[in-house]
Amino acid sequence: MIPDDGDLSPEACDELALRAQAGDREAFSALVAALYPQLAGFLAFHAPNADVADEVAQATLVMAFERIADYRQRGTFAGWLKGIARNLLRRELSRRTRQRGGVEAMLAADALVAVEQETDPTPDEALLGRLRECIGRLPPRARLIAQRRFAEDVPLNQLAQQFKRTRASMAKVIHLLRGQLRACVESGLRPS
Amino acid sequence: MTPDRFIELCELAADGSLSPAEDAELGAHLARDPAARESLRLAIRHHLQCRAALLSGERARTADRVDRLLQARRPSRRQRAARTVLERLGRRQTRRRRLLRWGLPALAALIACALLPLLGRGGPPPTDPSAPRMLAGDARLDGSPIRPGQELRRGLALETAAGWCEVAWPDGSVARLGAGTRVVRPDADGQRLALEHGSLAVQAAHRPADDPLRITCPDAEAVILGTRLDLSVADGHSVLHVRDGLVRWTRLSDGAASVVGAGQRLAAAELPAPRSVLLDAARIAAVRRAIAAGRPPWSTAWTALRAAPPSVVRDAWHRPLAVALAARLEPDDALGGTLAVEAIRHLRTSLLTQPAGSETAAAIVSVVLTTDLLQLSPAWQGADGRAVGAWIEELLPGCLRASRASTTAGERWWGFTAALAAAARSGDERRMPALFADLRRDLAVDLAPARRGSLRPGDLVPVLLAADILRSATGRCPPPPPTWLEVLAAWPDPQDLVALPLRGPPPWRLPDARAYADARGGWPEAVLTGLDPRFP
Repeated sequence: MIPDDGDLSPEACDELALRAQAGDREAFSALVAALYPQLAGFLAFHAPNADVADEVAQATLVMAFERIADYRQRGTFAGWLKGIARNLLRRELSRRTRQRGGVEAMLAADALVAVEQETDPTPDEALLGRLRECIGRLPPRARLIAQRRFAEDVPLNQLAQQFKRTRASMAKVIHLLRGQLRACVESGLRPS
Repeated sequence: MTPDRFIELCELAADGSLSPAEDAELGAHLARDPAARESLRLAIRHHLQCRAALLSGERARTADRVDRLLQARRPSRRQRAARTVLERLGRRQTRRRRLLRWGLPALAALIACALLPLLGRGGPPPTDPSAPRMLAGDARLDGSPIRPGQELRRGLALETAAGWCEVAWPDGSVARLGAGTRVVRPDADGQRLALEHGSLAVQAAHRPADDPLRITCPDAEAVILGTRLDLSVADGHSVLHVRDGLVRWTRLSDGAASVVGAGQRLAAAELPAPRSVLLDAARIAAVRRAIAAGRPPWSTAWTALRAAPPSVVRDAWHRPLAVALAARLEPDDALGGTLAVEAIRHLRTSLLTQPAGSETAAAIVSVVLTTDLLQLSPAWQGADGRAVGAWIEELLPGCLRASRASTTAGERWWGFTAALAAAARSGDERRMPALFADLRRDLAVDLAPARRGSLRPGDLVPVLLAADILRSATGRCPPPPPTWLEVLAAWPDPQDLVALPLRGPPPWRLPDARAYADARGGWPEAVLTGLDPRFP
């Protein structure tokens, strides 16, 4: 039986990992689906763009699947998964820093330094949950823009066409939207 | 730069859709203003956080996304960009053609009539179908800046300084020039580029065999039929790294050549590559194509290999081979590289231990086949090859003595196969037919009706493997003893035959091995290494 609850205790993670090691693919899917928000949160903090975040997330899951036999049940599956993601991210950033040019290489280099020094904290599920709440509170049109831009990865040019704006004004709308969301999250997370 | 312009460029950077000019504009601003650089980093981070929050909000959707991430491959940004730009160029050309055809025919005719006698030429040069065009980036064409869409004409040189640039051919092939690179388009027919120095990453569309893409380096030439590869030239010495597909790599000074496959890297100075014992690059490429096309049993065996319980590959001698095979067949080259590193690590660990006596011959065969798969991986080192050689040299004599003295048919046959594999590895082709003849004679004795009752299905595995290795090395293999197929046909339990690795060239192989594999599956590595999709 695969638990429905998204929050898995370390023991429950280990139990699913044990089943995955025995070849139970459903258990593996349930395990990584439960831990995916943490992984996505980690990559959101460290990746220089959505493409890198997606590529590293994919490679992490595939590698975790391939190397599940190496995991030892000590209640540290989330950390193990994040370790794989960190190594793959470091490698990808290093590759992009060397092979890409311009702003992309610059951003990859900055991200690589942050990953190497581990200066950036990793957002917890509470932060992402709060952000989700804040997006839910936006007026309908702003929420639609957020949905298209962030969840559906609609590029700026296309979004501007959809909302009948110039590219520059659409960029400003998104910028203001992000500012509102940041303020909302910070006010909610501030200790009372 | 105004704040609004900066915000606009930040959003485009988050999309990864900055044009070269915008990239340069933003890059210059960021270089001048460290605070702007930090603002951009925070903006992108917040963008990704909003994305993560929305994407991981629903559990069902997350599970679906995880499944998609595990199974699907998105086209790379470069592929998407190339496609978009080429589509745009195509649309622009169509519009131009329409305008010329319907809007200005009389004027065009008039101008042509007026100018042709003056020019003494037959009109504007026809569009060259094999000409690459500038796609994106920062480069100079014969000293002048080049615009996106501009054609790279024959004889002209394209050069990058600190930046990069990409050129694309009409068939969708894309070449990316790294910093400090110079290429020249030779004055010859076909898709060709000459790399004089620097680095080139190529993603080539599939081409007809008689019209490949050719990249010429100072000391070697790569002939490409549909692949992704990286080429670099430093001090006149070239190195080829194939990411996907097959490349014929020929040294210009002496014609030494090898076919290099996905996940393999080879310097021109190292040509020709060591000969493969069983799984050469062309065979691996054929299996990869069969998997990509969803052809059973290769696609089903590949799925089974990737989904196999880890216990299948826990055995110390078998695991490096399984991981090496996964590395060479993995379509994602980055993951394939990681798997190759892991396989090499497992192999190094295995070489530190001694196999149990009866397993030694099978372990030697496994190590030879693993080496075969890994020896051109970027992570493979000369010391690895020497360690494998020393390990085989140490174990083989004792193993052969023990197997010859064994009363168990399977152990004797594994011994013959180990000797054959070691001979193939060292290129001793003259000795191989004699070794195989010895094996065949021994086999004929044990296939006699009075003795065949003691045979087990696993005993036949080394025989089929030996036949495969011999055919791979010499191109031919003697037929089996007349009683061979009779023994297979009379096997009491057909399920045992499914458990056979389905190896061996016809007529050694079980006649309906494919049907068995299609219907019931089989040991995935055996299907992937035993059945060659190029032959019936």
